Amino acid sequence: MNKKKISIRLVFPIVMSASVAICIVSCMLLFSYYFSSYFQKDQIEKMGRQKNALAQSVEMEIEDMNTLINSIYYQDIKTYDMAGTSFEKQMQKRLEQEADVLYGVGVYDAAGKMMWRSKKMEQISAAKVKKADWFRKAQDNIETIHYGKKYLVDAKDAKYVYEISRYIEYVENGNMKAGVLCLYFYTDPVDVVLSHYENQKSAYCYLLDAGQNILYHLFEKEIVSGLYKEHTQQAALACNNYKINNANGKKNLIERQQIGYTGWNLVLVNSMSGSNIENQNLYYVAWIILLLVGVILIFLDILIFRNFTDPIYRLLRTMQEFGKGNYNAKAKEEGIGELKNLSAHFNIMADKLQEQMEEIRRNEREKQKMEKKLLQSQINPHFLYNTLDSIIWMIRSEEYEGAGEMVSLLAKFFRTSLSQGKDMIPLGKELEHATSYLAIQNIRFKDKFEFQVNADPKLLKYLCPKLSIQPLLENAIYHGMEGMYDDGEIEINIYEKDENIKIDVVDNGLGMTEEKIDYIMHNKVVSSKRGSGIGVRNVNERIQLIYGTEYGITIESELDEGTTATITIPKLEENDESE
Amino acid sequence: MNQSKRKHVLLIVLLLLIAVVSVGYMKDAGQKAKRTTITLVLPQNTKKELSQIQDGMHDYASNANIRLDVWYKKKMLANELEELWKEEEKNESKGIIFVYPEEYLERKKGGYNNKNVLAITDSMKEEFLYTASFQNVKEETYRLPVSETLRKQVKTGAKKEIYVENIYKLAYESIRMMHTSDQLKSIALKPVRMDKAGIESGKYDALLAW
Repeated sequence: MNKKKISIRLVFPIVMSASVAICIVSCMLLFSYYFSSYFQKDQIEKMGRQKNALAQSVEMEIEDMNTLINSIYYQDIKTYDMAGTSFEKQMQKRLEQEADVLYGVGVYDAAGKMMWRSKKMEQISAAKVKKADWFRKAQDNIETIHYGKKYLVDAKDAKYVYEISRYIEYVENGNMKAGVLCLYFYTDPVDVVLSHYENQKSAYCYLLDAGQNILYHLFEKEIVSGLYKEHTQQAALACNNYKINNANGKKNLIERQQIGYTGWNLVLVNSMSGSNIENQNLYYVAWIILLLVGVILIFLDILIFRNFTDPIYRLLRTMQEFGKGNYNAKAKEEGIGELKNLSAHFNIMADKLQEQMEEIRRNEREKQKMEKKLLQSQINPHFLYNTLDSIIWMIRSEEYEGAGEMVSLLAKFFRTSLSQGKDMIPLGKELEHATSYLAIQNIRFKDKFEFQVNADPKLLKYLCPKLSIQPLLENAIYHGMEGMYDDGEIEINIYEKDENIKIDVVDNGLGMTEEKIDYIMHNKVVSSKRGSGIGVRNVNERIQLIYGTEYGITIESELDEGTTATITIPKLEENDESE
Repeated sequence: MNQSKRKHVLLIVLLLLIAVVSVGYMKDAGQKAKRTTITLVLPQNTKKELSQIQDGMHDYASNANIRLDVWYKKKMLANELEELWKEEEKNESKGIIFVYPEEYLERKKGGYNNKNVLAITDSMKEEFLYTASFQNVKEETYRLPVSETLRKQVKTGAKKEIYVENIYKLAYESIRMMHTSDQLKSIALKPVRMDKAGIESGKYDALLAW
């Protein structure tokens, strides 16, 4: 199965970046959660303080009203006889003094009959008075002051009043009688206090009387016109301190506070979404900081990761190069801790391996040398044996002159053979050596064959392996000439072809079959018997060992026509590398 | 630069881009409540009843964070309207509300066909594409502010009921429509019926106060 390799360089940054991203998002969520809670708590506390301050201010105004009511009752109504003129005077004086807060006063007897009223107060029938809430409540609970509804008393100046009543005892003609005092206080002082609170739809307050009628509302005109509906009223009255209310898709924080003595309720409404926008700057700063932290983390991750992986990748490349055969490739010894050791140990291993390989190569060279020597040594016994055999034959035949010439030729032959121990000799010398050999053999075979040498003199300076032509001549004589009744012919042609030196040994003998040629060239022949072909193969192997496999010996033969054995060697002069 | 380095640089650039886009988005979110400008043209000789219209306009404008560009005109020629609109367009005004243009604006043959103009009018309804006015009823109608005498007449039973044209609401609805609607339309409000019980209960006090 062809599985695609996943690179650590891809996986690691992705994993790290994903981790950083998850961390940032988690931090943001946690931050949002904790800060939302904090801001909500803060908003509740802040609103609570504002509510208490407002309620306190309203209660102070109420207290002032209470003080004035009690003052009118105890210092005026209870003190002066209503039937006398002093009462009227005192009341008028009082009204003048308190004109900015007090609109009017009315005194009613227990049956609801109006006993006294200030000028601005309307004349109301006793029957109507008796039905009125303020009258009934005052009579029902004689200890307290009752705060009633709000009324418009002056449309032109938009003046409103609170209807306030209390049970009283007044003096009429010296008799103490029970009754009800009704006072109309301007709403202005309370309205001014409440108007100091924020006046927007996202933050406002309103005041409800005991009957849940609106006494103050910033959007009163809009409510009356049907342009606005107060949705928080029920929720406000149901909560003890504060409540977070979701109405009409708006999240509001509602706080309620009861105003002392009155039964009124002060309600503060704050939009939570409005406060969120205010806190958005903080989110904005936190978000930037987190993102910057993310960028820095990823940058650091990249730095550390590069320090970690770069040496590994460099080592990998070095190993690949080493694997391709560049044994000089060395890993840079750098990186953190163990990574540096890894490169160092690789270098040690590579050095050891190189040393071992060098030793193997050296051994191989030695082995080749030995083989060459061995092959060369296989030639010499053949030649010596054959030559001496011919000399012996000539001496026995009392051909002393021929034997002497042969010995002389043999001496010449061996001089060339020795060649100061050199393996490579100039082609001229090798040709001389071959000619000596042919001459020896010719004497031996009693001029049974003729030989001819055609050599390009320019090529004689080039080097060739020593004793390379002689085995071919030997083969030509023993395979080509033997069994022939006519005189044989042997030719040595030395010429240049395709920048190489060609040495042809041509005979006109019996020729060989393809099988025989193949047998001579490729099969291992251990016999050193003359004409066994071992000499030709030795020469071929020597040439290939020295120059390479593209050089060597080729044999072309035709039965009854003759054989041509060709040596191909490169043009190498003595100064060139010969071995 | 090798490929791995390029990847990392791209990653950092991507993160920075996210940061920039997020910041931009948050900035935009913070400025979402961008102020809208609406032009208001009033007659220069301010009558008491205009205060109710101004109240309505201002109440809505302050709640909806609208900037009012107010002009007082004694006389206005037909071509001046075009010039005014061009000028207000430069101020990015969403539209013009003419309050009782019959008191200062020249009548034009064929009327004014401006699509961003709304007129609060009684007698120039034909002159404008969009108008704000009150529906006609059989009964006699009164316009805010209602006089103290009339109020007392209802309170005492001298008059059984009255029909009051709430111009505060008319102004409020007019500016709201111009602010929230992309396509203007004409408004026709019903007068409010006020009887003795309603007035005595104080239900209409906020409207009746001048």
